[in-house]
Amino acid sequence: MASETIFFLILAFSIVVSSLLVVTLRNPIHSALSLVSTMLMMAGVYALLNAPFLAVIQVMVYAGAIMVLFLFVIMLLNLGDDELGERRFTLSKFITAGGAIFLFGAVAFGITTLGSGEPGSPQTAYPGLSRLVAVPGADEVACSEARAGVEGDHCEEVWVGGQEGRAAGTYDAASKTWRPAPELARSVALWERFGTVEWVGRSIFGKWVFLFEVTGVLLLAAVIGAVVIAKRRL
Amino acid sequence: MEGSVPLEWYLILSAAIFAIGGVGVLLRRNAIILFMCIELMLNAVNLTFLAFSRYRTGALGALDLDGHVMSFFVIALAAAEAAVGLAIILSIFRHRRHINVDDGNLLKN
Repeated sequence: MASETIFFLILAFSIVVSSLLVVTLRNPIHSALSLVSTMLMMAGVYALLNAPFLAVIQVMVYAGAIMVLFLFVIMLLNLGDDELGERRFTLSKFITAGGAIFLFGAVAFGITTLGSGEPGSPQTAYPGLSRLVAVPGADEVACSEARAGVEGDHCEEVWVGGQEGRAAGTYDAASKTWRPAPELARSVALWERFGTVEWVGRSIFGKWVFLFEVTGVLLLAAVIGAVVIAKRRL
Repeated sequence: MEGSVPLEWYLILSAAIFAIGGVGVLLRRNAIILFMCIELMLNAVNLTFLAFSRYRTGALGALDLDGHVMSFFVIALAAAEAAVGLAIILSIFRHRRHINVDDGNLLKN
């Protein structure tokens, strides 16, 4: 198994367990602490997804700032046993949990059917999803049409893992791989730029700069609103 | 790096976290835990954005960081939402000495 798969499985299992703990634990402090561990492991999954900038933001803003705010409020309220209330298991709770499991099953079935590429699957309606293949490794060469080639076979779009851009290529039976045209080999490494501070920043301050400014106004309004609400008695 | 994790695994993990957060929002009556479950659901959405961003970049062979930008804005929104929400919880607690969401009916009638 590739190391990415092993790390993903470990992280996914721990995330599901600790997020279940967030929901089931009775004491809010315990819930908040398991939410912190969920956030930290989510940052690990972000790092697996080649998103170092978002992983750092996740640790600093979520696990740092937001969860400190939560813990601060929990300690300020200092709820005792009588405020927390009895632990009750009613029929409606089981129905809700069953409904959520059913919903998850339906979504998971939809996801796997969409991506499987089986004939008759809904991917004919969404041809884009079937092309979202796993990222090839640095020295792995793939044809975009995902077909096995014979000697001298021509592929319109060949791409190398770790390289940007596409070019035509031919199949080389001796090495059992696709040979890209030389211009592809010269292009800049794609995965060295993907998800870094510089390129995410270029996107935020370029294409999405208006949204960024609007977020600034929203944060200002939220801060003023929080101060006003927390100050006055309802 | 052969045998990379398929996109569907990330989507299923995201769906699982979203479902768990949704159960929490529906079942728990403690307002703070309810807020934490909303944060869980927002995180699940972020995971979906990042997974699609990465696999789309792989499929296009060109940088597509829109998913990263959206996750960034979702995190900023979550911070704003947590600040206002916790202020409301504090205010309700001062008024009623508990934070049970089932008993919060100030705006009713």
